[in-house]
Amino acid sequence: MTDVIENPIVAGASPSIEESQGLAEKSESVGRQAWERFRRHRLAIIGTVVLIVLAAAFWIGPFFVSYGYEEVNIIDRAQGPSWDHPFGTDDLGRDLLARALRGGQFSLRIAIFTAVLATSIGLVMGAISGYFAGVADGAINFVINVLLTLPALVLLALLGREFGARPNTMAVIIALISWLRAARLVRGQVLSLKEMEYVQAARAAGAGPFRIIRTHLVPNLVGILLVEVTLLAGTAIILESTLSFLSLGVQPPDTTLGTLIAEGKSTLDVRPSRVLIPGGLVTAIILSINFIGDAMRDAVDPKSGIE
Amino acid sequence: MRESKLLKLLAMLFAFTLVAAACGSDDGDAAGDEDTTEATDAPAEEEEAMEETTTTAPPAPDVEEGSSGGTLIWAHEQEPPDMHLDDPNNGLSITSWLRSALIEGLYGISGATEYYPELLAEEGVVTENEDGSVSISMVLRDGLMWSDGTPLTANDVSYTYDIITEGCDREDDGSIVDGGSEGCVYFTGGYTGTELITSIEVASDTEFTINMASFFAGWKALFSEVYAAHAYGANADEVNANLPEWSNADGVLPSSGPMIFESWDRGVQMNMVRNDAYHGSNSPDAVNPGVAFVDGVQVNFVADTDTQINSLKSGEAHIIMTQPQLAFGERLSTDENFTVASSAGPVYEHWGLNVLNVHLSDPLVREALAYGIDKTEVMAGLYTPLFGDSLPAEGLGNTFWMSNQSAYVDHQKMYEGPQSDAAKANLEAAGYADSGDGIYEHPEKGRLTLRVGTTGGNALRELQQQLIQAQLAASGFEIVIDNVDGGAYFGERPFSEEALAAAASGGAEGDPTVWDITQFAWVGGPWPGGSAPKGITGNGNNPYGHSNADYDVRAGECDGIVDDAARADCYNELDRYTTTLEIADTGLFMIPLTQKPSYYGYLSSVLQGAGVAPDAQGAGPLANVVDFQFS
Amino acid sequence: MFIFAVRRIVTAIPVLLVATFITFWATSAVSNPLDRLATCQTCSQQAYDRLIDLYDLDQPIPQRYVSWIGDFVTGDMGQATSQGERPVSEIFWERGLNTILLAAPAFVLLTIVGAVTGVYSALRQYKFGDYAVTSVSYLGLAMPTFFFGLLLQVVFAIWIPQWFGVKPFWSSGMHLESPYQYLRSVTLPVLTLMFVLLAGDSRFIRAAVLDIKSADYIRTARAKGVSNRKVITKHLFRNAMIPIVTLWSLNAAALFSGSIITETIFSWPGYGRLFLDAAFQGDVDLTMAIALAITVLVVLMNLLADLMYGVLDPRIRYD
Repeated sequence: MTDVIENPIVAGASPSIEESQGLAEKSESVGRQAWERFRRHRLAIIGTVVLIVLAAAFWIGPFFVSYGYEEVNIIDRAQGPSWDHPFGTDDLGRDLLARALRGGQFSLRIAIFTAVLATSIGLVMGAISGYFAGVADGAINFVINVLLTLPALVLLALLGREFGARPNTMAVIIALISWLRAARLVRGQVLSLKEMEYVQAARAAGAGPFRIIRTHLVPNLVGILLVEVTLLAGTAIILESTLSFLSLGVQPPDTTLGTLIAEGKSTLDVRPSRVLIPGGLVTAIILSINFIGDAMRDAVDPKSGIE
Repeated sequence: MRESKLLKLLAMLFAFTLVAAACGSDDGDAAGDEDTTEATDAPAEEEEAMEETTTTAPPAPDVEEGSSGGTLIWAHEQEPPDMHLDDPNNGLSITSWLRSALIEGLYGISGATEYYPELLAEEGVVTENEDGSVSISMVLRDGLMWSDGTPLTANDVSYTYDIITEGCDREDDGSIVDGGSEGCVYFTGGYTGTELITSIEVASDTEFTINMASFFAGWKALFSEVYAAHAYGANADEVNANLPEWSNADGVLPSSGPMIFESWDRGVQMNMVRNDAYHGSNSPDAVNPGVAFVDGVQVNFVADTDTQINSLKSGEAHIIMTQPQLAFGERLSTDENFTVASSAGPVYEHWGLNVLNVHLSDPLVREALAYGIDKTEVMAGLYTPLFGDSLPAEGLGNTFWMSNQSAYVDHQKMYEGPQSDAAKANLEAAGYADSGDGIYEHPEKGRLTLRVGTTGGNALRELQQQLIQAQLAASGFEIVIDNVDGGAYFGERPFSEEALAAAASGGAEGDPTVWDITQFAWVGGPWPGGSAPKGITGNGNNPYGHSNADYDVRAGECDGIVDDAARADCYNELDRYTTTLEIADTGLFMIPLTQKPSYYGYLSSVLQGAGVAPDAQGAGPLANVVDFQFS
Repeated sequence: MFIFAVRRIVTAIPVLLVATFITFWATSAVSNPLDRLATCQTCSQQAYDRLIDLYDLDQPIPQRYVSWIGDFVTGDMGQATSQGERPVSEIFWERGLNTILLAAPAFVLLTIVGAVTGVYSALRQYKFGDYAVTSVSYLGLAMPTFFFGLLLQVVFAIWIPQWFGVKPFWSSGMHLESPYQYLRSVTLPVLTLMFVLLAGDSRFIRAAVLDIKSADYIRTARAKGVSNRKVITKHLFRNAMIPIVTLWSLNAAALFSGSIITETIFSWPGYGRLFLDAAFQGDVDLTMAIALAITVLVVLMNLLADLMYGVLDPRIRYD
């Protein structure tokens, strides 16, 4: 830290000059550059392919499966994987392949919707709160502090009961309680960035607050936000399964991957496939999202990733 | 170059973690010791001995075959708030089950859900007097003894009556006013029957007579527990203070059952030790006539059902009794080390219909629903794999008598099996037609969509719900599942103020649209009269909106019939109002599905004998604790 | 800084009031103790009266809240109606201690493992080690807590018996006579807690380190010839600490307020399960005691984090 203060010109002033100079040509080439960088990540490409394949399977697959996800066949209940039922059947004899596909649709939707929504709320709240001290910061902090200190489970139970359990409402409910961490992280980062010399210089040069947030702060937050999105996508899937656990999940006969894991947990040692298959799908989704997130982070932030 | 350094760093950090964890343990130790002062004074050797049995899966082999010894470990999910069963704040089965090992009553409940004389030497003799009152003369067994050596006499019975009713406000005729004064012993069950008692005459230490103003069919349930006059408290307030912690100023309350309360480490476990002064069990199910084989019972509170099964499988628990769930069967029935036992309990699952619902108000629709539900498939799919033939294959067809009771008649035989054609014919007769997607709709009442709700969190019950949902889809019903977690379901749906107000007023007040169909279990028992209020107009136990003046009159009469057979018929008549349309078209507001069986798993490699019993109030896993024996 | 801390604590009081009121209101509104008599077929009016009296159901919720605050401020935490009317203060400390016994080692282990794996992952970015760490930590994220806990039980208590046990403090209670006993009891639940939270720590630390590593002044420092190790310890770490301190404060608050699922699966008699049960039974005195403890904990952790920002980055001012 001391070094930075010793060399204010090197550390602080130069980037702001660079930025103002490079503004015009940047808008044209940034997208292309980013794509180039993204493409370099082999795992990100694999992650993208896996996600596309999974999404295609979840939405198109059901047309090729000979059983409906809600089709009960009590005679064939609780079977292991077989040719007829590749993933086995559940306690009511429903085909687990059909249910996994159906569950995947909901889980993926909930994951992405929740993560993006929660992170956006968090970004807006955190940026406002960190940048504008005073009333705005106080108010948002107050809300965050109150929400953070509330027992999430009671909140979830209340909201779930009040608004019912359809996938979209569930995503909103989960987002409403998961934006807090993003907001606090953004706020902490903004507090620190705000004091950076180049931001102060821009402010001195008369740049308005929204311009500063947009051009100087947001780009610096992208890394942290992308990680947050990928983490939240995973958390959302898991939280959704906890909600199902509290009978606040999607209403049967619909299902989600989290619900399928919860249903299979009791026979962990005798029929592990019931947990491993939905669990594997969840892991694949989360890992893919994460790899894509990493690559996107490098792509939009040219400074990182150099070795 | 960085790699090797980092690996070293990693290794060091992990080493540090271990050290840190070890240091942490010292803190924990010191703090933990403070903790123990609160718990009771179990002798140190005893604790070590217990540890021996639990950490080695098959218990100490020094126990000779068939001899006594060992501590029975029961892992259970629910911990009682206190031991005062009659406190409305408690009233939980677990408290009743724990107490069933500690104190006995005049009558007990057998595995067949019938009464048997427990403290009594023989059945009480009922004499009808000319003025309509009755006298019941009873004789206690000889040589009954409290665990502290005090004889158990007829005075204890008389004391129990006095202490329960002492301080309560009374009418001029001696009956107890509901909502009596502060001085009453809390009494969840109400004073139904108790208030008919005019006096108890004690003739000798063992002989006494109960005088009642009129006959009451449930009299055998009135003294399911007899309190100790010398120890439980001199007045109602003292009793209310002593029962919760099961102790008085001198220590633990004395027992008349096979076990004595010893200690309770809240949140962790409860311990009981053998009552060596026990007079022996009178239960027809009990094999052992003397004191218990085991040295004691340890109840471990394990909140998660899967963990309970895990602890049984790892040998840490000897017996568990969970909510019935399919995983139980899959994980335990296939393993020869475990025995899975079940018995049909007096608790029954049902679908209750809100007759104020726009669709369900039509008896034809209610009947269509009964046709559409295939109980046989529910039984074959969900219950038989777990419980074998302990339950009837066609499901339950009575809400007053249970299938294992002698007066049981299946009143819903005509709805047996899959009858979606009959269901659809009924719907068409009621003016419904297929809307195109297989679901029926009515020109005025709209689409035939009904919500069914239950207390979420019971896996088997939710599966049952989904299975019936699928069955009814084939009969033109769209069933939407609308569960609320835990006990809140009742207060939010069928027993909410608005719903009850609607039910009581026939829809004039309140809100009849809060719920359509409810699925839950009523607790029955050897005395079916307690099941009658569910159909009485305006009764708090009748959320269904059923209203029939004839039923109300009949319900008042049944409990007063002295003749057993005639009384049994009377209850069956009430049930035909409830489960059929044969007597009145207000009927068929309940579709009983099955008895909820009690379900045990125990380590057969460890236990030689295990006396399991149904989960009736007053029974439970410890009802026949004398029979548990380590091999 | 001291004045800042005092001011923060004073301004936290409204947060406490609002948060406790919401919890109070939610508990009272959602859980109606009379529900438990709903299906009681022969219950007397006395039974209802007793519950109404015990839970003050005859008063409106705001009034109940006010009288709860009044009692609490004067040192009366009330009676735990769901626990046989024992004094809340007794249960509160007893169970709180148990939660600390579980949370403290979990926090230490999580922090260390998270830091090590995160930094390692950042330094080995896009190499095998990075992917390995990422995959393992994401496995933890992808598994619901209850599943991982049960898995540990099956592996270390059933398949490999005698190691840890399903409920290891089985016969001795939570007395924890020896360090060995304690270690045996605490290992599986601590591993569960650590594993499910690890991804967060590890990923954030990785991201923060990467951010700082590429920042201009690091390059400057390197250009000036400062040694690699010094760069890591002096610059990189201090700057990376800012978001990480936030994360740690959140972790600590989460862990020390009791973990419902882990405590349930391992029958650990701490706050988590007790809190849920109390709230579901409408036992407001006990619910509120724990809720307040959680609230205070979060407020203190936030304060600590904010103070740490200042220590780490002197340019952050507290006015």
